[in-house]
Amino acid sequence: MAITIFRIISPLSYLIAAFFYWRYFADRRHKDQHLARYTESAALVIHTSLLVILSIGSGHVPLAGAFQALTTLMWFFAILNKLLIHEGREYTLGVFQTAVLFLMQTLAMIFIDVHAPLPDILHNLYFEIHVLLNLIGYAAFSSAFLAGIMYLLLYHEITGNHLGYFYDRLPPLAYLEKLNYRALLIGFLFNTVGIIIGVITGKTAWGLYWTWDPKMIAVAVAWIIYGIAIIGMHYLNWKGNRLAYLSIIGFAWILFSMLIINSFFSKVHSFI
Amino acid sequence: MLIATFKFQNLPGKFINSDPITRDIYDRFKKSGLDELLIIPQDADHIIFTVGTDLESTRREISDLYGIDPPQSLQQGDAFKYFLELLLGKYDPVTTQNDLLVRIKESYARALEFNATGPILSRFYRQGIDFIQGFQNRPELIGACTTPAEAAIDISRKISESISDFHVLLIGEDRDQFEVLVQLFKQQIRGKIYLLVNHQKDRYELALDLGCIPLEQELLEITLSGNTIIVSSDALTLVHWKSIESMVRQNRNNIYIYFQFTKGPVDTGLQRLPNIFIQSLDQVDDLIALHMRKRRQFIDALDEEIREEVENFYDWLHSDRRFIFSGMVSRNRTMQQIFELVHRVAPADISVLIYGETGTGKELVARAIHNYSTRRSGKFVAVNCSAIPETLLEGELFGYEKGAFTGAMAMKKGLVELASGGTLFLDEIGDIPPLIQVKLLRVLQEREIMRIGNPNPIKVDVRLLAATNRNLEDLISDGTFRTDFYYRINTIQINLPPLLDRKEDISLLCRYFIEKHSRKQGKKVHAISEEAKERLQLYNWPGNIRELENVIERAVAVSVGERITCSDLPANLQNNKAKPTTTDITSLRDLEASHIAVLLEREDHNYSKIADLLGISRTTLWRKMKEYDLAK
Repeated sequence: MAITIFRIISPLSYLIAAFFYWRYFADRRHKDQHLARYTESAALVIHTSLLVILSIGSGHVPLAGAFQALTTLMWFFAILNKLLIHEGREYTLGVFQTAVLFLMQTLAMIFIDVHAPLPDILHNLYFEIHVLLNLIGYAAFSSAFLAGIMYLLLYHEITGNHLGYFYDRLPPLAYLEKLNYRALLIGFLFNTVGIIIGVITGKTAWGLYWTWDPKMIAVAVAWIIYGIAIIGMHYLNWKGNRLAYLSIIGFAWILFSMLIINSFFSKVHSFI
Repeated sequence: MLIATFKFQNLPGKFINSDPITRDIYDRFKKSGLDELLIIPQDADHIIFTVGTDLESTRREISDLYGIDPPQSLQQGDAFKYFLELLLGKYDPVTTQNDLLVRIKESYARALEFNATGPILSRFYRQGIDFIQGFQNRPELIGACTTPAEAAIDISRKISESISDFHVLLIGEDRDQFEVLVQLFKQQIRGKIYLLVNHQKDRYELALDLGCIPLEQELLEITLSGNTIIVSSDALTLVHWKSIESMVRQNRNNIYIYFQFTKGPVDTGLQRLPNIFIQSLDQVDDLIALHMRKRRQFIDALDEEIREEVENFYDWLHSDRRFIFSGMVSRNRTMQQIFELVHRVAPADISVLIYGETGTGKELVARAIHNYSTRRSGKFVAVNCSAIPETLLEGELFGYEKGAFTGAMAMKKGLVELASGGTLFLDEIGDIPPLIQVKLLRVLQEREIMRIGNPNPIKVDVRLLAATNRNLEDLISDGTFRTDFYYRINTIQINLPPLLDRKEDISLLCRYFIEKHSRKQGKKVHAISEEAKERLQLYNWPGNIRELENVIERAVAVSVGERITCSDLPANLQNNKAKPTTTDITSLRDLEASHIAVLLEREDHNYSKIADLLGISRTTLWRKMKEYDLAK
């Protein structure tokens, strides 16, 4: 029963927060900003409670099934944004984040299977850690994706010939670039460690470090894309727009591989 | 009573920064029949606010005054709304809010200097300023970019967040444009400002004049390594772009932002460069337009607040309240000027010396100063120095420790100490013995006191206001008042006129006191008979307003009906009747003409003084002078 209520109010609370953030974004009224921040905090509390209830009910971290994993991913995403975004800036960026949170949470809450059994393999602590680390990594990549989109919106206004809507609302390019880069770095770090743990524990499970499973290839491709972005930034002085494009491409690739490859082609590395 | 707003396209002469002509404008005004005048320059125009009785005659008056066609009248009957909008920047979209305010404040200071503002325009100005002070930190007003230079800074900030470590490279010869830019950049940027000029002759001079470092094109790529804002006043040639390209390519980890301050698209003639943001003037204009739109929207959204404020102002203007200031009631010009002065001196933490006969309201003035000062949350301690025996005065003022003298049973704080953080008002300061004057001087200079019987000084922070009805300079020559103390407290002097000099206030004061005392005594007295009022007018009021208040209080107490009649007045007033004084019978017209002529001679054509003496407005005086052919 409690779960049902939470399944309804959790996306709803993000919707309300997104609504107030939107109003603030559009009209810049301080009242909306306060309301948005309060509802966002409340939404985060609700989301946390949901995960706790799920965990207590099933006796394990909510990772069973794609949509349990999705809501856990979104929770990491919400937390990461709180940590990454500099105090005072979240008010203009909040509208993007809460919108994503609302959409994904709705999706997760509609299709979630509360009683899904945990795949056997996840009873292995190392696999569990592998999954969690990768989720954190993907949450960070989502942040980078958003920062990249915002960067490009502003970048095109500034380099184009008409300053207007986003110029007036988004934080400076340099800030968005920094945000993008930091998110990428965090994501890449967790992703790398996650992959290494996965590879090592995979050896114990399948007796192989690596299989040419489509999903594993997809993950490797994403890792390479982000790796290129970081090397480019760090050693080749790439500018923010290139970083932004790579964040968007990388994330699009992850979505594609999750939805298409994972569902239709993966054989070995599939637990849904 | 209305406030008229006029707009002049060609008032003779420029207004600000050219004193002789400003003086001329205000001097002409003094000879006019107008009471108050405030001129605010706006671009090539001048906005004039003035107080008149009807618009047409005021309009003619103004055009006579300056020998020009009748001016365009603005926002008829709604001058205050116009003023508020003017303050908010509605009619001046290309000036920053700050510059605008500075200009209006300067204009007002100018009007004050020539004594052209009176109670109405003072309130007009002050209420306007107070109103917009509430919006002073709104980004729509103060953060708005109004010039290309400001827009360039704003865009640079939007690109790189902080621009304090940037260098600046100016290319071109547009001196005016660059002067503004250099000034702005120097406030915001710690890096160096370079100037690259094409033509050879006087480029070093130009650079030095502007306060920039002159730079050769060949040295561009060597010198400019670091984030740089480049501003060019013209479209650059391909040669220029080539050197910029090699500079940009060589310093790949820097950000370059390029602004072209001339119309048209930017054509680099090169492939897209990696780390340079190129901004055309269109971009810059876009941003200015955006900010102006936001400012206008903001002002439009304030409509309701403006309407309320305007209503509030006109309510005040059309009511008796405009004669009431902090418990003082007057329509007398001198008194109104005093109210105005109180407003001005209150915030400055200086001593004020108030002169005035008994009962003229010295303490009320002191209280008003306290209430309008920054110390208003502190205490207001009033001491009547003549009411305390000289021997006790020191103990009262400075306090004493337990056992300091016989009878000092406990420690007692002095009044000066009690007033710390607030205001100390010393009435009848002429009665203070010199010994205590020295100690008070010490309070003013060292900001500390010593309690009797305690050698340790105590810090105090008081503002001293003093009042007296004696001539302190006489006391100084008698040797009973110390010169140093006198000069210390006499920073600002306020001279309160006796009631005899402001008889026009008697009926206003009557009404005020009748209301006050009938409310206090629970009576229903609301008016005074004409006959009784005449008696009051004829009396010479040695006890001034306090005496008048006592008379009214008594009259309200004894009155039986709703009106105060002659019989309610004290006996000495009842017998006060007008005595005809005329000897030869002449016509009233001749009498008036000769009286004005005498005064014109005596007062050397000082019209405002004469109008005051006659108790008529300057407009009326002027009209009469024309009628009797007395005008020069």
